[in-house]
Amino acid sequence: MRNLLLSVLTASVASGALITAAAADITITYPAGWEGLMEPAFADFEKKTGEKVVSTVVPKEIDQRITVDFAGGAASDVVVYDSYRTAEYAESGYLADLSAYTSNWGAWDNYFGSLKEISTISGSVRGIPVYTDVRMLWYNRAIFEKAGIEQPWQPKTWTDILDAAEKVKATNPDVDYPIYFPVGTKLAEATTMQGFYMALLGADGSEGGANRLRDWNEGKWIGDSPAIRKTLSLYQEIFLNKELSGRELYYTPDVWGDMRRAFANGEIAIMANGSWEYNSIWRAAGIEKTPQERDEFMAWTRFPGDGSADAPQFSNISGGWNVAIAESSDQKDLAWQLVESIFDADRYAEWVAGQGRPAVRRDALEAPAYKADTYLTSLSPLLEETTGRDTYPGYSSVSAFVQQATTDILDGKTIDETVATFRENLEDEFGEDQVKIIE
Amino acid sequence: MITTSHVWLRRSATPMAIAAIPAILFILLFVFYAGWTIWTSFTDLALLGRKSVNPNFVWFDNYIRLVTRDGFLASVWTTTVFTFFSAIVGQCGIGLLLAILLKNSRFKLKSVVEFAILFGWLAPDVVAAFMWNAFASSDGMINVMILQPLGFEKVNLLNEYAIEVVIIANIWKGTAWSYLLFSAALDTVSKEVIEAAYMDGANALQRLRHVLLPLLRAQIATNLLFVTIWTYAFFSLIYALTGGGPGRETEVLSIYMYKQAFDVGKLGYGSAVAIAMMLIVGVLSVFYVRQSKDQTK
Repeated sequence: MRNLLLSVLTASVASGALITAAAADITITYPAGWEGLMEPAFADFEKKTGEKVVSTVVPKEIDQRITVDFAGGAASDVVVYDSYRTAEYAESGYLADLSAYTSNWGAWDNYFGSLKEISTISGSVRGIPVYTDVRMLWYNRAIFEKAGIEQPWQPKTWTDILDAAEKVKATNPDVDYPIYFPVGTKLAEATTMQGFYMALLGADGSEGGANRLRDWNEGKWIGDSPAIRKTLSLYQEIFLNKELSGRELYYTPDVWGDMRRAFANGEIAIMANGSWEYNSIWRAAGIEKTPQERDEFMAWTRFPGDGSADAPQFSNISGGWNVAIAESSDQKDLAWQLVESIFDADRYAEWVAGQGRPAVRRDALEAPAYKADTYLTSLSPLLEETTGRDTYPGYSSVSAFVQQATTDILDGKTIDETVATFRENLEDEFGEDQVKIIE
Repeated sequence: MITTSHVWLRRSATPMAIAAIPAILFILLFVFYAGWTIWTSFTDLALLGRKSVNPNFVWFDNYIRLVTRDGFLASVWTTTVFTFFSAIVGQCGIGLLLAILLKNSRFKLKSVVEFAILFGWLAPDVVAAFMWNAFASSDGMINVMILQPLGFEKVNLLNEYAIEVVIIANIWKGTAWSYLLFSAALDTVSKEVIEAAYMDGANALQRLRHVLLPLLRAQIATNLLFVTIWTYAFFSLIYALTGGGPGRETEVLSIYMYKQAFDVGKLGYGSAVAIAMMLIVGVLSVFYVRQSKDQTK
């Protein structure tokens, strides 16, 4: 018995020692699919510093994982996060100030100004951008041909989109999703970005924040506006009045994978989505396709405005991902060395081109692999005219309210009821004086 | 016997106290987190931003919003429907029925049925969710192998009958527990009592209603207590299968709470939902405990 007790004690002391040793390692949390960028960087870093990298690869919903890790005080030294969170994370004191590091880092000059801005809060750099994206309407060429819709498809208004979807519905009864338009809470930020925002931005002029969720001049969230109502009525048209989309794909156990497989299987005709799908669809479907085969299968067109007088002709919104160091890390200098390894110029350029993701650095755009990619270069005009979301602290709550509003429409609530709830949610969260109504 | 154990306890007071430390720590931990949740429910603590660092004490604002704002009451209703049909009628009812029917059945049949229902119980919730998705989706087994060969139109079950699908999935998932509990309980009912009722001329239904059910009353109440508590707070299978959708059709309280706390980021409001859930389940528990005690009087 005594021996047993002794061995238990020894074991616990040993495991304690192990835990202490592990705490000295550099930890990093990043999304699955980034191994190509990360693993060679870890090897370099370990060789250079003699320290070990302990990584956590998150297969899904990393956004939520990182947020909860931060809130619970369990964040890794280095984290990869969705860049729209920068303002809120910074306000919560979760992100280390990287300004001292970036000012001595030659590569920082290569980053585009707009992306540096997204990651800089009150003059302090909080994250290093990895890549960005643009949004558009993807369509299935074969279905369009069967529906007799002219290609390349160039819709000028929302009516053109609905008309095309109706033609598909009439001619392709097997296609359950004449249009796939992100809705509901399970798709989370994708509903806000790929669906709601894309419509909202094209529903009115930009004066006074009329086509946004926040009026930055007045410093208020927008609780009701003609553009918000028009956007919700687009949801109503698609899901209720014209029944142009099934609902299952927005709620399945694997919402992203199932959506991609459905597109690859020809069950979706038009899809409001992002630039990454050119690759992601085929990865999820497990199908190898050359760029030429992909171009024969699918094409993209710009997302048009609603056609009203002040509204922009097309809308687009961009996001992206950042690498950052947690404020809670007690080995920030070492963590920065790992960040520098991750952004090794040649390796980064090759990886970002291989991912089919728009790069955020001038030197990467010049890399041969990137230049040779006709798809990536075709996105350049969109990148020039893009905008970001209203990432003022509190944005993620607003975005969740947006997702709830689209759910309400699906549940059959009227536009008035839905907007009233949306506005009430904003007023509860920020106070009435922080919410603006546009008549 | 009792005296002996007391002596033993007295003699080994120190080791017993040491052995109790983990339990005491656990109890303290539970009390701490319960206390923290109650406290949080009176604040506007957020997951992110200013309110995550400096939350305000908002008194009963969160609780007032439970009843004045959309969402909570609808979820209470959804959860009640889900619990009533999947736990009380489904798991408990079918579990009892199976236990009675299989009590004297042949060994092989019993083994097959037991294996089948235990499989559902043993499958992890997320695996079960993927299975039911493969089963009920528009290209799923029900459509492809049953409805279409019989000449019926394809039905998108997860679109049109989402709450029914999650109820059936949960019955499939959880009936094993009730079955095992009732099987064990039935073994304690003496054969003589049933035979006596038979001799007195009671038919099968009368034997069930007037003899078996009253004898099993305590076990039924205990089982109802258990299945109600955990079904009322059930999350994983529904969340993985439908995410609370389509729309809010399957948004039970646990999903509503999760979304409010972690999607919207309102930890204070989410805590208020959690406390409200606890109170609802608490009231039901008192009811069940009373039911099981009545019999012993």
